[in-house]
Amino acid sequence: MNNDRAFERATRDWLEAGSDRTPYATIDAVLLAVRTTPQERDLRIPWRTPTMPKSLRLAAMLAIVAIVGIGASMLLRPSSSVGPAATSSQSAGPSPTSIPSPTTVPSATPLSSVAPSADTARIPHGPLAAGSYTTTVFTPPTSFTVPAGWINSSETSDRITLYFTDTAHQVSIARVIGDPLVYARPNPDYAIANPSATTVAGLPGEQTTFVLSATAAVKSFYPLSSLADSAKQGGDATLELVKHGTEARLITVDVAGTVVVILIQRPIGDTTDFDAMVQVLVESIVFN
Amino acid sequence: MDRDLVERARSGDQSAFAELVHQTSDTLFGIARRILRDPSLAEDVLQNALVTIWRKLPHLREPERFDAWAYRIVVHACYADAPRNRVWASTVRVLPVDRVNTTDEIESFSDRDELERAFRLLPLDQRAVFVLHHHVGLPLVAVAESLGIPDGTARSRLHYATRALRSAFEASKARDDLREGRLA
Repeated sequence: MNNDRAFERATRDWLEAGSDRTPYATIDAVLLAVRTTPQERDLRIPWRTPTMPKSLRLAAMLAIVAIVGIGASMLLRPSSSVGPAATSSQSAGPSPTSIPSPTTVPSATPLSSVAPSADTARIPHGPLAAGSYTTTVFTPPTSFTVPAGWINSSETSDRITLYFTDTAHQVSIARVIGDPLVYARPNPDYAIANPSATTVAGLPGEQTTFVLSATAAVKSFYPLSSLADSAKQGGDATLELVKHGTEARLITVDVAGTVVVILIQRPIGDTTDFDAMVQVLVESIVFN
Repeated sequence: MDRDLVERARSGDQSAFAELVHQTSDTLFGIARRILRDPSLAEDVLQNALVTIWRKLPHLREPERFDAWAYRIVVHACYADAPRNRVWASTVRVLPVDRVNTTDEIESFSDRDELERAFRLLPLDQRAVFVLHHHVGLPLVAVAESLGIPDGTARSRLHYATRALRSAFEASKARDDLREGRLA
């Protein structure tokens, strides 16, 4: 019994030793990152507790199956009015002059996608329909073309970030105050490879591949906070160059004296056709 | 946790989230530090976890369950970041020489070292259950719910962790007894 008490006391003393005070630098870094990190919205099912009654779960599943079944039967019925209506609405849908060639437009566009906006409208937040878009908040005004499946995560004055299907596959176009390579080259945490010359929108640029060392302790966003253009103007925007587990391709272009970077991130060793799709996107970019 | 604060942060209010961070960061840091046994690594983990919390807040359907949800994110961040740091930082403890002069104090340090060593040998999932139960004070059912594991799994992890720590403690005591016997 005495041994039990001694064990409990020793464990408690050991467990409670040390300070739990969060360092100010950590809190500052988080609040800094939050200013430029968009929240995930409407992209997946909300987190729910496992206490949801089984009967409710079953009812929800049955409802989903019923809806899918009814929807499928309506779509598959040849005499249904749904088929022709869908066809006519597709042909009568918005077709801005900037819509890309048909080869880049998949035959089925997600229902939740937002159609390409007119040139003067802001690029819609969330899923984008296949088509061409021009930034109105981000400068220099930049046009690009995407097939269906891309999501506009955020557009700010110094960056636009697009995801393809999930956040692990993303492309950012950003304005920076200096060449990120100047920061990254001497940093042992980054493995830099394959530097090569390239062109974007007819302008000469440099292309580099980055991998964050597996043993890196560096916080991906924190040391780069001074690189974003808005930081120069008193803001706190950051440019996340590369995260653990991802490989990044960075293209740096000088657009009339402004350094613009195109940052492409995907999981290390990813074998999807993401690279090829991004190449089409990059080749479509035009700085206005 | 203030439900209104969570709801405001969930809707994108950055000042509400900042307040939330100030209110919760010490608890979350304490959890990460105890699971990882490395304050520096715990800082990195906490930073990543808090940014994840911000990003995923709109998915939290029940704001009153914010704490449990945040614990889960921190614990998973510990799981994610620990394997990259297999070379654990050594803990160097400076003993105040002029004060440590009683057998009890020396034994106390010895006990802590044994517990520390034993705890570092535990798998992270056992450490997480132990910390949430004994440090945060959550009942086992709440620990299981927070981590998204069955009650029985939480109970078994706690059992194995406690057994390992108790063995280490008893071994330490046996050594102390032996040493005292020799000195006597």
